[in-house]
Amino acid sequence: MKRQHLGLRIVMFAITLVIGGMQSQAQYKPVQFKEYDLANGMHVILHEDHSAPVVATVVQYKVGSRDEDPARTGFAHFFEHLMFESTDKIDRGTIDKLVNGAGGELNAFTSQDQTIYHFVVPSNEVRLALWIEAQRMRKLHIDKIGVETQRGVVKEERKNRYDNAPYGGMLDKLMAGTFRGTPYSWSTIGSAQHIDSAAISEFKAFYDKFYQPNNAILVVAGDFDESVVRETIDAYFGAYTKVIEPSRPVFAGLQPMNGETKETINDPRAQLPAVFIGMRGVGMKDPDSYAADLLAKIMSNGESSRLYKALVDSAQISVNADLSVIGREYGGLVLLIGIAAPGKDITPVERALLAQVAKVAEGGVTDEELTKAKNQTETEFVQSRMGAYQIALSLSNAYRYFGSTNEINEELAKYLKVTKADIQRVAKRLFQTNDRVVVTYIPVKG
Amino acid sequence: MITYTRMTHRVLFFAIASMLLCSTTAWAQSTKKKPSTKKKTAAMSKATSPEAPAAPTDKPSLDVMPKPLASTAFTFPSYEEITLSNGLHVFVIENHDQPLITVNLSIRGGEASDPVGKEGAVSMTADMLFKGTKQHTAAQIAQGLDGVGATLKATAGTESINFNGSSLKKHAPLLMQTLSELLVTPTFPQEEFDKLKEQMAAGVAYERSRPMELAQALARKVIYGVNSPYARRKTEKSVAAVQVGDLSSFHTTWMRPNAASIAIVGDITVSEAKSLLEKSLGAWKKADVPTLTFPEQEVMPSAVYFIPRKGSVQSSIIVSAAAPAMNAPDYHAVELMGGFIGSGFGSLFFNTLRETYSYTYSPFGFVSRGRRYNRIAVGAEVRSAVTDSAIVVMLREIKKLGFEGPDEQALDRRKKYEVGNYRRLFENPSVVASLLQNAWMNDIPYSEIEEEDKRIEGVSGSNVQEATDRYLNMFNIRLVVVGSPDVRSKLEQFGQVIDYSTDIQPAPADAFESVSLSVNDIVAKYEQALGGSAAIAALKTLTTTAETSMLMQGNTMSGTYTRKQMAPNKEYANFDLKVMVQTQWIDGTKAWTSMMNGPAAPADVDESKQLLLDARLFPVLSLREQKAVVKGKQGGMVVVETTAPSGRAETYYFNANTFLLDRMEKVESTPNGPMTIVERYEEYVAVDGVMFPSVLKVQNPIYAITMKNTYKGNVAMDDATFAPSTK
Repeated sequence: MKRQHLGLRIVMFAITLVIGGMQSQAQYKPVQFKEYDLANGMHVILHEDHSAPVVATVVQYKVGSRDEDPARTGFAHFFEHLMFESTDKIDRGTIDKLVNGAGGELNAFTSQDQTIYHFVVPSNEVRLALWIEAQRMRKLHIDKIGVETQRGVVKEERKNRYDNAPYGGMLDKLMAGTFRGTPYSWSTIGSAQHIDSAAISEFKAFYDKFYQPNNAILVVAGDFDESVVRETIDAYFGAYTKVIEPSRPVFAGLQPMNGETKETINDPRAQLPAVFIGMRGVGMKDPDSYAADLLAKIMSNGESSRLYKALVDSAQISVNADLSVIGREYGGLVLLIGIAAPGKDITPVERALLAQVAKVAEGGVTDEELTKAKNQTETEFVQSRMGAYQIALSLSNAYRYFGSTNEINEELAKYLKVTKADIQRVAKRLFQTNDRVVVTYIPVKG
Repeated sequence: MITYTRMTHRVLFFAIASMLLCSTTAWAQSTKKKPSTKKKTAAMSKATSPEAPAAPTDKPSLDVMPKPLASTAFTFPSYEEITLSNGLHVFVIENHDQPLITVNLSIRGGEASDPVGKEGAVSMTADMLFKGTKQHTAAQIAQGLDGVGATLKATAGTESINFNGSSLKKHAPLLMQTLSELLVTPTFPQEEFDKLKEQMAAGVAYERSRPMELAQALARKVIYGVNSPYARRKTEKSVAAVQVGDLSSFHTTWMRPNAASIAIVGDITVSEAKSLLEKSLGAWKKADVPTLTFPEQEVMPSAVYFIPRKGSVQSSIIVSAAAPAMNAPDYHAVELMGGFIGSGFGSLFFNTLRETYSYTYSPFGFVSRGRRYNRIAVGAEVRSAVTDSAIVVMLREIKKLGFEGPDEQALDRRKKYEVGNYRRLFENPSVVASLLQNAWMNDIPYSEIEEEDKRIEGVSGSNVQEATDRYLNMFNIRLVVVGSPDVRSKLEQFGQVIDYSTDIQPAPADAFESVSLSVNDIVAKYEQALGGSAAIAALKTLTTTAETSMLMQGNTMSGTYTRKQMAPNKEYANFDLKVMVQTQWIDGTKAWTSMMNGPAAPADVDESKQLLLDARLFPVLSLREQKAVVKGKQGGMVVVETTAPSGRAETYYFNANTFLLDRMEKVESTPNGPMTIVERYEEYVAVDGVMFPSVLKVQNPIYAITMKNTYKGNVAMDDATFAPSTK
């Protein structure tokens, strides 16, 4: 996942632009929100917007795969599945029915840092969404039948995403290589053996440790009445008590990479050779992350980007060439991707990717490139906040990672402040190293 | 109603199948669906009924499921329509929340207009528009758009080319000017075209690596027919055949403003939009556009269509069938049915395949949205080991839905969910605009879009049941599977398995090795393998009793089979599966059949002809007397093809070592097209010195029967056995 812009729905300030006014600098009204803590420590953020009759809720639990015991990987993601099982007042297999039956949608996802649950419902069903979240926050039933079923489902998910897909598991290999020694080194989906051998009591202990009000952020965004929602939140979540902060593995032990590690995989599912190169990046809270994002845009956003022009258009050795910077709370990954053109060798692709990143570190970027990347960022900032769910998710992340929900309004300015010198400094920091993991996939004919 | 008028099969399997179909349908039609007696979910029963909306002052409690609050009215966003002087139809939706403009342009004429053998030409036209105009090079076009953070893309659909663009309002003039250049003055430079061809070929290769995409492509071919533009697909070869002239010719012929609509959505007024469009797209000239001729839908025969994919750990399974056009009165019921069966949380497949059996992560179900004809596709990706079990569950769930109709509560939830999905679209006005454009293009009244929620709400349980019965009955469905070569044998019980390549072409069969044997030589060896002519001649009567199990629509039924035969061609047979009983008598010249112990009816002329042939004790020996062709040796079998005196095409597979018959395939004509039935003969045993298979399997797409046979030779029989009692 690329770093997400936190920018919100932006409402234009006083001026009306005349069409053709290419030079005008748009100004954006800050996103309005209110936030408070319940006595039990749960953080609540409310964003009221009546433009569509829809409410989104996001509950972020501060638990991801990095919080797992190395002998029990996959727990955080497995829990995401268990949270759709039963509670004191909700029977097994009915959460989806209640939400769909109310005209809403629901889902959840897990990363190394977080587990997110979300609903989008018609505005008159806001209480249902909050009630389900409150029920499963502390009243979840963790029993044999639910655990057994989800064990099977998660195994199929693993096959679907990794074992049966071309280049499957590539990202996990790169994370493992760049983050060896730390909890980022194992994949979120984890080990099937760990999940299979875990006892019910272990799942219960995990629940009691992390699924607590003071380890959660609740965001409600959209068309609601503040007093009704506040009263509802108090009634549903207020009775839960604060517990001690969960102890987390210390994020330490990062091993030196000692240069380049290479692996070649014969993949019967792939049709074209591909190379994936991982290097250490910057964490999402690192001040260099803004420059790193712009650098990634300059390298590979659009057909005027450096990698596209060099590898795809000019040399024609590659059909896809990409650079992403993936930020996590305690570190990041630079991901270089090259997929060879039909009949072309993968080695020149790998060489060209590395040559391009060396070149930008050495020579920096042009004014034109920087302006372009900032313009792209500005547009994305406006575009990417369609809908209550996106807004709610961004608010929860701003609070979670920056300790300031208002980061959402301050973020664009940080991008616009980045200079050419910043970009080159970050390029040197990221690319002037021999530490990297190179995974090459070679198709084998079945 | 589908009924088979001919009962030409040895055990009258067809008649039984059709009888079951008759009876289920008759039942379904004559029995009003009973209210569901399933216990209410605990959430429902433990909590207050969510009928009356809660007043905002109601006190919420963690122990009680909340009632909904009073609902907010949903209204369709307002839009304006204008037509420019060049005939371009315009929709404008104002939304001043953000300083942003989005543009959708939809032009009639898409991949359906690809010249045959040059599939990919239209899609390449869409891409090549960006690769040079009279004013700018490809690099300048990309730099211009990227430089201001604007996006503009063109994709080819089946019957249209669609442009989607977006920019901050301040950059809208640049976006529109670029769009205008692409439409009016593209140059299609050869050098860029050569590069694009390479990239397109890579895209073809990438698609081939994705199993579900392969399965869907094959399902389109099976359901739409090989000649349908909906089923055609680009390959490396077709892409290589495209010339740059094909692109400019498509552009000149089809891409005209009078066959297009554009929607402008965002921070712009109607008059601003009009003047912007007149200024930028006024130079786009109108011209007559051809009408596309479209072949009729032609579903391929009932079978299992299989793509072996080495390295697969999952099987991608699709149950697919033809569906009506979008303007058909029952389209909404069919669409709701597709989602109800397979899509998302709470669907039949989710509840069973995922939540009961853990066979899959994400089942799916959808109905395509074409203006002419459509396709239902429901299925899942499951681990290889449970490929057959998962298909059994799928067929059972589909059959149950057609037989009993949906659970009313579940259907109600589904409808509310679909209505919710529709209304959530209103969060994004450019999606609303594209719905309007689609309706305009396909001559669908806007009211269909504006009142989609009412249409969904209007679908009843019996509508869904009828849709299932009509479109997903066992004669209409086709199975498509992409998976490891090892799963092939698991598929045989669902009918003849037909292999396709990852290019979605019929897999070339292994070449036949020539054999220096005539038909008579082969039959002689077969006769020898059975026990020799003397032993055969000595066998005057044969009594067969069998334990029988029949798998049909995901259900297994067991029963018995009794057959008495007297040389040369007298037969009595009784097939009893309890829920259905079928009997036939052949006295050597005439034939009768009876269903469910009812009165015996004389078979008609054609039927009698086949029944008399099938009554013979050793029908294979008769190959000597009819026109038959030795195809050669393939996969350890010597293969002989013939047309039976009844006109039925038959293929015999003799084991090349033992010369016993391994299997026989016969093509029956049915009202739904030809259907191949495979009979497999296994575990031969000697009966009075003559070899007979102790296991017989009969497999076709409707059902699979396994019989464990016990034989007795030369039991005395009375001629009266072979005619129905006249009492």
